[in-house]
Amino acid sequence: MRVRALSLLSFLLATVAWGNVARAQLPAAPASSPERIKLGGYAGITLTRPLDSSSVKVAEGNVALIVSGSLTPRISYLGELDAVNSSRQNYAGRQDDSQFELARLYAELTYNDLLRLRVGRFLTPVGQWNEIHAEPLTWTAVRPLASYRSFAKYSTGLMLAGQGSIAGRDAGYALWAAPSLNLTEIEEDELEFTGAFGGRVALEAVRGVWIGASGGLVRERRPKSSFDDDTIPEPPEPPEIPGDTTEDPEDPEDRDESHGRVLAGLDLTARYGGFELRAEATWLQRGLDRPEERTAFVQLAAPLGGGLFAIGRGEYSRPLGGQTGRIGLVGLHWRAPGRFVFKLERQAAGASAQAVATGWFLSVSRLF
Amino acid sequence: MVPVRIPALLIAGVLAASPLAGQDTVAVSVAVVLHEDVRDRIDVPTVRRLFLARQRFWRDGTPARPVNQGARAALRDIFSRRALGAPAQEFTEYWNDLWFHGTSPPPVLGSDQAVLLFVARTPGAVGYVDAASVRDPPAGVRVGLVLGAR
Repeated sequence: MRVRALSLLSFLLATVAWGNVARAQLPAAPASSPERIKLGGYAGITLTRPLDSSSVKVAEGNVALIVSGSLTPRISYLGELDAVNSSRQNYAGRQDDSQFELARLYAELTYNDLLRLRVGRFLTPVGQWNEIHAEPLTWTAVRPLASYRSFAKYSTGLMLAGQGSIAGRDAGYALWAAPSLNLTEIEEDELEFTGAFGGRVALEAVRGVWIGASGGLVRERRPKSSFDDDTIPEPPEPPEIPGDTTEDPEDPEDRDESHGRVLAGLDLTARYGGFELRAEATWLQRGLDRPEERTAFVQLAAPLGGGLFAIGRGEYSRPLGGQTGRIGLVGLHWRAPGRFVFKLERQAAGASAQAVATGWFLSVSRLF
Repeated sequence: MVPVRIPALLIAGVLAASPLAGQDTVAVSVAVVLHEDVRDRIDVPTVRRLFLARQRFWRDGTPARPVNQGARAALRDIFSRRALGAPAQEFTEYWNDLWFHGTSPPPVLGSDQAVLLFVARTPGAVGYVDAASVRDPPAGVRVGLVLGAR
């Protein structure tokens, strides 16, 4: 374990150093023409001490390389390759995992500010957290369930998006479609879309206050381990949805196949004087009167001075086929010199919360 | 019941320590300058969208090319407070977020003269300088807006 951690740390440091060299080779002079290639990324490592253990272990190490650029003012591209090494004993069935993941790879054609077309693999535009989830950019090392539990973090397909002004207020939208493409193996605590389309709108209601709404019709594939608890009562037979490929919800062998559902989400971010209040909620349901999964969180970041922030977060979760659970987190977030970000936090959950990582978490991350 | 409690005293301390934005009392006026071919009329919300990369094209389809003053320049902070609504340093995280999506902040030039030269030579360019330096704008540059002290 120690060797693995040291290897990972060496890899992180080497990557950061390489990133600085690559960055230094790119001129920062004003560009009167598009930047054809930009290299960067981020790296982070998170240590955890679970509540039921006295040992400290590496919860996750992550190195992401990002290449982006513009071929013309209207044609751009972005690719992100993530190397993840994780070990979270709290997540159902998973102890250790190492993988490379093509997180994003897309080309974008811009007609004007109101219309641009993105083709490829992109972050699913649901809520605010998922689209800016890089470790150095998030307030906490532990991600709230509402930011990923009910939808796939990444989608592969098409997206139309734009931004403009409505009555003098900045606004944006995204319409996306992800056909049935199984490009990656699903994680133990995540799901994958096997066909989905949806949309998102966001509006800066007053300066510094953004509200957003997301929705979609999705077919998804979940890991079997999410359904292995025999104590959970089966939900009543749902009404049939066109395109739903579920064969027999009573048969455990079929439970990781596609299910058709309605996805909805609301989010709010308000910033003032260094404070940030953020809230997100997502619902998954089979019909308008049949909610199946609900998750929500409210989080406050408060400045303490010197780049240090206090973080508090409360979460509500009712997972698919599970019981209502409540989760709480308190922590510190320090934006240190040299673009380093340190986080120390403690997450605890009620007894009924399922597949939730609890304990102490210490993370160090950096953009490069 | 969530097994986490935040003491009221901690919250009170956090509120007391908040570094709220200061007041803009500087007498300098800031001129927003445009390449002569840009025909759009601009106002403060437009300037804000341009310099936060929320508007990337002019109405005629020409790509907008905003250019900033240096990170430590006093004029940049004055401009940021008057046009963007907050001190320049408060946008660090904003640009980090956009960088994650492949969007870089506007390029930086170190003087009013450099900004004026860049704007004059670059179609679609928009920058800002001390208004006193453009009482007689150079060829290729027009003043689109003046941000005075509030």
